[in-house]
Amino acid sequence: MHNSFLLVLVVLIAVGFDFTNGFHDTANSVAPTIATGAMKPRTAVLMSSTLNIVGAFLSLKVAATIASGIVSQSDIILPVVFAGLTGAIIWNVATWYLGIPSSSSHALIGGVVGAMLAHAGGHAVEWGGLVSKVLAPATASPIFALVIATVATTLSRRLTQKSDNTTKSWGMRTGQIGSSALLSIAHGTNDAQKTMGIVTLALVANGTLGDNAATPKWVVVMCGVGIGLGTYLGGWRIIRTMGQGFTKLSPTQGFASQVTSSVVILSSSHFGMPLSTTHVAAGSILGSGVGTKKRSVRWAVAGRVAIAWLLTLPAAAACGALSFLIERLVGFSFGQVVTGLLTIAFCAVIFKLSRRDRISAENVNDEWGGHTEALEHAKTNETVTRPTATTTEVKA
Amino acid sequence: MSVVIAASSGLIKWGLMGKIFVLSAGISIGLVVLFTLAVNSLSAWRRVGAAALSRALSATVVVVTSVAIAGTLVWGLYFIVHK
Repeated sequence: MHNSFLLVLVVLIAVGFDFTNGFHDTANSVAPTIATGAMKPRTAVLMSSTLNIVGAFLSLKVAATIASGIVSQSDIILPVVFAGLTGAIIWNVATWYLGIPSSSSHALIGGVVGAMLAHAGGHAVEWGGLVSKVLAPATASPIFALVIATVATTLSRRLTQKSDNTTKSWGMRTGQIGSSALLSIAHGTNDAQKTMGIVTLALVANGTLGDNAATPKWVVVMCGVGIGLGTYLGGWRIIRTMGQGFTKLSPTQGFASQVTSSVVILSSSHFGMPLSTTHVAAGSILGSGVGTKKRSVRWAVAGRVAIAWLLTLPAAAACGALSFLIERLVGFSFGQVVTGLLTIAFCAVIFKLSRRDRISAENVNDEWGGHTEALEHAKTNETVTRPTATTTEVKA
Repeated sequence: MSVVIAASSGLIKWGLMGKIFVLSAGISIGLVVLFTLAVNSLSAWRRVGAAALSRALSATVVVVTSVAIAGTLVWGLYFIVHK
């Protein structure tokens, strides 16, 4: 009974992570499509959401766990998994609020590593695996994507100099829809399986499933729907940063960046070295900006994102470790309830804050800076009218 | 310092990374260039009075590009399903 309660909590928090994973990563596959007007925002996220669900059903070869080769498998217990997931959710929600595209996989790994450090100490973490499986690919992937997208965009721009704009824009936008669809399927397959792996691991650890049991259908459906729903609700704040913040994307740039992202992700998976979709997509978009005639890239925005990437592992690890320490302090069963409630409260506060400068399908394509300017304008008006209201109140 | 240690200790698989880069660059750039040529050809096709040879060339480029792109999509989907 005691273990079943812990298991239910782990499954619930895993679905929560799956959902944040979906809305956090929507931008990877649809940001350029929306920014160039190849598809309407709602249509693009609906397509991506549907294909994410399809992707979740396409392959069921679940990896042992997301943290395999990074933490000692024999030391993993349910509270560590729970704490790791809460750490990842907190980092995902915080970066979503700031509109920063950071890797959900790295957040999950960071959370689990932090919780494991708090549980068993440094010997339970395989530092070599962390470097070779996480840090090295994290550094290489955006550079690969940036270089390739720069060359592709430059060549495409030069080749289409004499084409008529109508045909060029139509052709490139059509191409973007295909590459965006492929990215969405790949994302559903890779990322939904991370959560499936975690839930399966929890079921095995609890004795509900045998060691070599296949992933139950309900887990597949739950994870597919979770990531699909998250994708549909759309991380508009991150879509805005990816589509408008790095550079002003033209259809030619959008097509070059999305083809690059799709091919880099598929090629790396082909060689057994899966890369972060977020890092690849961001690198490709930056490269498509560098490939323009004016090299028009907002490096300040790119710098802010790069700093967040550097902080992802340690910050998620700190959240995971803190969560585990609270669980241990209060007692694992009650502690999981407490940390779960704290995580929900944190998400609620961030959601409330996000309503102040809401970004949605309606304003996601506004000129970069325009949205902030409108807010400042509104605040100025508020400041001007407030004394009048106060005076009235005093008179009353 | 830690990067140097990691780079020299065999933790980073340079050969594998090189393969990924070369394959990705080849396919991405090839696809984008082929697609751009197809778009150019369509553009030429639409122009009134284009010469017969130009039209034939345009049609060839469009067909070759379409096959290449369809092939890549099929490879991608096949790989996603069977990996």
